[in-house]
Amino acid sequence: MDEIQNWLASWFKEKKGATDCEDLYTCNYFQAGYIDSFGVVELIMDIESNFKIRFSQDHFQDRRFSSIKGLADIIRELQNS
Amino acid sequence: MIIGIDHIALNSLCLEKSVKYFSDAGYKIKFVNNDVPNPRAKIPFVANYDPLHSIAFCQSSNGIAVELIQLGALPGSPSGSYFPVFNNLPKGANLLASNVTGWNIPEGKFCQIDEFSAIGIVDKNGIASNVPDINRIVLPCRDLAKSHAFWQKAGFRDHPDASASENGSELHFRAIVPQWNLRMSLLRVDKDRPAPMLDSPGFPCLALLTTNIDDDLGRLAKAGNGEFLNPFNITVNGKTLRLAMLRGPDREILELIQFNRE
Repeated sequence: MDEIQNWLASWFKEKKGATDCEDLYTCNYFQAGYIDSFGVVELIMDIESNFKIRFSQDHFQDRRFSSIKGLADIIRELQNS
Repeated sequence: MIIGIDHIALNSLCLEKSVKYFSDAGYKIKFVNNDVPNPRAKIPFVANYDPLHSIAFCQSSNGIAVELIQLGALPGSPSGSYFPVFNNLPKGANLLASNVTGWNIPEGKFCQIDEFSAIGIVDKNGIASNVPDINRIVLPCRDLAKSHAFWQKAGFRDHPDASASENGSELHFRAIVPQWNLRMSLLRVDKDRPAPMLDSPGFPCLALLTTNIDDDLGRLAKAGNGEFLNPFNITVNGKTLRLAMLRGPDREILELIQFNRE
């Protein structure tokens, strides 16, 4: 797993009580119940602050956003743009 | 950045009765706050201000949330701007003739449920009796182009399954959280409607979640009718929120919600 995925996984473990499991990186964290609406806002703000990026409206409609792996891909794309 | 539809507000004359109604219909009642302080900042958007108000937050797994508010609707006062389209309607809902002119909704008719009005989906066998989720709302508007532009600024996009006509257009908000999605049908009407207030009967307010309330308020207030309330803090269910309110082009009320970091 790369650095971004590890940061996201740590975020979910420390802030939302997620446990290490095989599908933590690939599951839909909304459906898995790891996060509520307040948590989503926290996640967005923490990501933007830590990685010095800004999401656009289009990112919030990207299906990849709902998994750690997919979200890491989005963050990486923003960092490289 | 607006990231989703948080809820639609529904004015209730009796919160206890309305909470039971939605609970029986399958909504999860996330919280009920009785007699909590009603921010004075809201006064310009309220017809009769009361320092206390009661609210309940009802969540559906298949539609947007409904926030019940007991402010005391005024009989005969203008109704809220928004007309939700319930996917399914509970038993006992009474059909009324549509009083929205200018556009036919082929799959729906106005349907009154208790003290509020909504558009129901009716099939040839009658009214279904499952959970009344809300995935779509109808918003009457005088200037279709202006309203279309306003709601696009709020993050809505053209709905891929529907094409615009001179009488209406279809938009949708696609959010990362499924319960924050909403389809909006803009319906062109010929008459101005009286400006609704937060204590109007029906559905007076649509609440949007934002990560930057100041930026979004600035953009949307300019594109709306110009009326807005500056951001203020409120504590709801133990969480401090930052709220702002504004009116859209047809004086519909929007609420912007930003969570405060603790």
